[in-house]
Amino acid sequence: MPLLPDTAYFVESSEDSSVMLALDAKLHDGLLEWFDTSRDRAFEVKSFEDLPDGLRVVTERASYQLRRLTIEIYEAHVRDQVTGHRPFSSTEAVQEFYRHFPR
Amino acid sequence: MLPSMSAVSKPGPKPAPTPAAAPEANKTAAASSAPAPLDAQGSAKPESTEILSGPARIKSTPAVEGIPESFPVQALSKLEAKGIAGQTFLLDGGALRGLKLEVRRVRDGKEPGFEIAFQLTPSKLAPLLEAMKKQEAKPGPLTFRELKVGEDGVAEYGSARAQIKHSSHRAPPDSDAQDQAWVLSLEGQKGGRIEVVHERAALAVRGLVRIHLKGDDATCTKQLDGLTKELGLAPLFAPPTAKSKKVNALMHALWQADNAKAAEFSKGELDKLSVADVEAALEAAGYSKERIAGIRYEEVYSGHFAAVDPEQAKEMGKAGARYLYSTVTAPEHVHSILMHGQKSSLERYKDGLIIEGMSTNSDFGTGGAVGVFTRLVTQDSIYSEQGWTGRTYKLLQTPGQLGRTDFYGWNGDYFGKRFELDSKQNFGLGLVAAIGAGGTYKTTNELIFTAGNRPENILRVIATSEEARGKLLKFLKEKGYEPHNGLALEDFVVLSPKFLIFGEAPYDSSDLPAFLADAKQKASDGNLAPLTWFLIEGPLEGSARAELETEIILGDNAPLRTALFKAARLRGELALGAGLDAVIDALAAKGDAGKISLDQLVSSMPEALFRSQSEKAFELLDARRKTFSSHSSPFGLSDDTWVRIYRALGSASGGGAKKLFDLAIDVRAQSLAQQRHDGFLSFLASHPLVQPEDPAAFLTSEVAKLVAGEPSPRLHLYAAQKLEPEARAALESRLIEADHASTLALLRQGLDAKPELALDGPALETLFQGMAEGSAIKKYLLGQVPDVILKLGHQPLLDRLVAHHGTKLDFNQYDQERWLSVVDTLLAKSGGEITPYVRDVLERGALRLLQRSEFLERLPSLAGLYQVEDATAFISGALQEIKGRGALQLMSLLRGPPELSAHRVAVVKALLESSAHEAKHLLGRARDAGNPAQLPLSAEERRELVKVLGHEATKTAALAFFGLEGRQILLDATQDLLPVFDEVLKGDTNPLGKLDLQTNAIAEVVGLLQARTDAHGPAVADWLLRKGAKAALGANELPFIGLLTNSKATLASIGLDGASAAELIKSTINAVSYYYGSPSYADQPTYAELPAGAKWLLFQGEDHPDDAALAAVELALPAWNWTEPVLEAVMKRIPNLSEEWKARLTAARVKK
Repeated sequence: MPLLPDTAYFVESSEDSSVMLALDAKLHDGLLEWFDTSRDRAFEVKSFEDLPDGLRVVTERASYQLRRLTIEIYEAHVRDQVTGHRPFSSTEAVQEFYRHFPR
Repeated sequence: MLPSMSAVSKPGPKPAPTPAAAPEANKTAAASSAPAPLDAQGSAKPESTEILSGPARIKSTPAVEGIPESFPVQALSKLEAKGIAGQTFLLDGGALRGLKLEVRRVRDGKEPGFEIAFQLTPSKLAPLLEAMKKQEAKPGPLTFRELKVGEDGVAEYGSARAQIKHSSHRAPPDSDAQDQAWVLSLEGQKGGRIEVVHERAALAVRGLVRIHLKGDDATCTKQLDGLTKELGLAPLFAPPTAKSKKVNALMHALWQADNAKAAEFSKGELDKLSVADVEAALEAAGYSKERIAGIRYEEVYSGHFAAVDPEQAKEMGKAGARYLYSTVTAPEHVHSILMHGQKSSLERYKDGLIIEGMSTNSDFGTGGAVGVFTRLVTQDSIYSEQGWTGRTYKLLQTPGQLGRTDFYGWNGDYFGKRFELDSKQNFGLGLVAAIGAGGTYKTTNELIFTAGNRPENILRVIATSEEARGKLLKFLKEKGYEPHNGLALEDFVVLSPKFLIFGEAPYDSSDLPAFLADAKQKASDGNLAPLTWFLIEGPLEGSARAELETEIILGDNAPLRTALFKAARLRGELALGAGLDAVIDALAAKGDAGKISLDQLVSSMPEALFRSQSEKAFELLDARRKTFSSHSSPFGLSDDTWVRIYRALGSASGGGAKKLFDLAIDVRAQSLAQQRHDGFLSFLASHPLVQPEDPAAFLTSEVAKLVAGEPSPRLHLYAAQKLEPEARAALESRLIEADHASTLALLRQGLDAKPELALDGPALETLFQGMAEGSAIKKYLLGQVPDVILKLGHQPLLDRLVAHHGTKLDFNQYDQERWLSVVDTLLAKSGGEITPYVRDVLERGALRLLQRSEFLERLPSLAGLYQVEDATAFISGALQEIKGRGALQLMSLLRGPPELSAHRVAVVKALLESSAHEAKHLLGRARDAGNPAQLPLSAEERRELVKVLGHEATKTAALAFFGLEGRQILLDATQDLLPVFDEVLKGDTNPLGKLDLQTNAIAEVVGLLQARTDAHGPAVADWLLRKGAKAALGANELPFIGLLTNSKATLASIGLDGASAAELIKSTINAVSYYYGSPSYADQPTYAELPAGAKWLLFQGEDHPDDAALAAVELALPAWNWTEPVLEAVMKRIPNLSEEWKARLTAARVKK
């Protein structure tokens, strides 16, 4: 599935533990980039493949898997790593929150 | 005490006049990762007002204007220190990183106080931590509290907190994962508290010290005095010496020039380091004496000073560095940065800017959090038409910042890694070379500037689309923003989808003939860069550029022609302008094969031809319009380029400008109007192209054309123009009245772009009455855009919608944005009054509107939405209709106007007790809408509700409440709730999960409970430790285990007996024992030790394993089916296990 606009993604990488959230993620001109809630991230892409709910991208130094952030992923992997540990009741609510996240 | 600090607190001699004679200097070492945070520990008093600068002795002035160099440690009342930023001091007691100390007045509740913050140099950190440990300082996590400015300018603490956690990515290998114990905290005997971050915490915060003082100024002064004496802190507040300032500045420069040498100096006896030592090192790195003498302090960001080396900026510019940029998305964020500059993550946290939902832990680990991130744009990248990365708006920043000595960079995304830096790739010329290595610009490069950068550094704001530019211009105009550099706002906010051609040239063209001769020679040798620069950015004064353009066009030098075509494409215009007439004539006359052809001119530089105002260019383009145009891309030009051409020609009058403008309009304008291209609409707003003398007659004739199947480009342009409401309504009326597919298409185009009619409700109703039932336009308006009809606020039209859609409450309008727009329009029309019409529409859109935080934020202001006399009946009725109108009714009780707040507990209870799925969803939305995310209940109401629900026959509602608000319930809990918790959670295998607590969150909640000042907090914390122990130890949660160790917990205190402890030990070891015997994992540190949970159970924080725990293992071991190698591997991983215990466990394994 191509990266969707206005959608928050959960990022995983076995080589890069600095990643977690990706807002405004996009793939263009050979680059994968996103806003990680604090700063811009950008990587030159070697290859990529679509996943049912996101994208797997291989860059020079690491590979990244971006999956649409759901309430289940948020609860399991994100909530306790972000300021305020805000609870949400649904995927739509967590997506809405990050749609409005200051950037 | 801090021996080395106290040793230098005595007055000493004044600094000697030469660098070599400064024996009193006592420098401290810097971490290799830090920007030479060296501070001379000279003991001279502030009156030693001379600084060293080469051999001369000169008068000293404050290093940075406005930054005081004397701290009133004995009279804090002398401090202004207001605002979030407070006051910054340049001090030097031999311990302050960068000589910097910050202080601000704060208020916690009603209590005033001070917060003093600084970072210690590494060598001073260890003795301070040691002194604190001796006084039984307590370990804890590093948290920052929210701050806001009060009415009197004093910073006030808010309720939000943020904790910095461990992240291993690109962090130094010695980083400590136990983030619950990164800080040592000590209460002073006279009050006040000091918090110190230890030396293996996240790199960005190592050595961070915060002193919290509470009370009036006199009390705070006493508290500071007490802490100062107890810990020997006096040198921290000593004024700087001339030498300390000089060495600090030069060491920053050396950090960039020769990072390895700076690190070497930092490791040595720095009190023996002289100014001359550092100067010599800089000279060895290639710095001239003049350059070194030019290094000076500047306040590079509000409250942050740094040494600046102007030569470095020049040098990097000559190497191709043109400017820097950073990016943001929200116009309000752009405005904030234009007013206040950018600040780093660490500065944001220190200033109490806690942003919920943000993740910043990783760059605290790398050290990047200390700085703001930018990217460097080089000349080559501009000329190779590279594009921007990042968020919507690009803040273009001056390359003058490259003179700062507190920045470093990488040629890729290294997340700001601030250690293992190398002058050959992370600084200065090496960095520029790395960014352009291999002839390929590294788009993802990052340059990190400590603390922040000034708003004055921003020279332009770039938008990459007309829509974004228009949005930002509108916002900045509303804010009354005026660019600091004197530019008009329209010239300050510019459109540039690719890198902007901007910045100082790397060439000296003051002797133009010489420059050109040299550039041509280089071009013939294959280096086109100087000539390309001249054609793109060379001086327009005189005729040199136009002459060169002529020479190239009429000549036969292919490489030069390539350079010209690139310049024309990048710039979109030629210096020749109308002078093209003669050139085109000459070119046409030549007719020479092998030379540039007229066709080539059109295909290579169409924009430049259009903008030239040349008659001949018009003829050339007009004659070739079909040959060189496709439907979607006439002349191969983008839509944005067409708008640029219209803008250039729209107000031009010379030569062929009018003809070229008309041609450009003819070729592309209708298409841009139909697409509603933002740039074109913006152009039309200032240059209306269709201004009929008799609008009514115009509409009659043009609509007739459409109905007859003829094209009407003028009507399309007219419809796209900005029209007065009456004119717009007249247009709509004619289009609807005509009731034809072509007029519907035009009407629809407008409504797609802006879903509202200028017509009023009665006028539309009248039109509808005159139209046939099967009218396509009527069907479209009622069926496809009900929101447009609803906005008219006319009851007969609402009745028509009801008739058209039948039982569909929301008229099949599912778009939340459009419902929000309906609400905005209707409330604006009614002046905020809730009329029956408005209430009806709100209820119809409730299911969409309640999904939007904007609407929920607005709900409290909707006074009079409902009158509730019988709350029970109201709630009951609303629950019956929860899938429709009832949703708004229930949410209004939860988050609505204040007059309905009395019913909140009742509605929460009713929703928790309801079996409807929608009830839980509604409660979730009500909680999500809070800030913080909580149901609108007081702590007391929350506790009461727990008691009421906890005593119900079924626990379903109580468990639902726990799942929804578990953490907050715990944080607000009192001891009398603990039996209720036990009762509700009885028999549950995952009790804390039911309270919305995963194992990795338990430690933080326990920490917050322990910090509560009432007696209940620690009691609830103990309960939580006991309830969470099994799960958290089983999951090897380090922070939780850190808490157990810090609180000296025992198995008994966390409610575990020997058997259950042994069972946990077995399960945590079984999860990893496979790896113990696998050669593939032999070198992995993770498996070199016991799992953290098992280790704590066996040792309970002590150095030797606990006999009782071992005895429990011995007892259970026969049933575990462990093989001999597994037991051997486990015993190897138990430090200090006695031979006796080894024998007993070995025997137990085989015991039947």
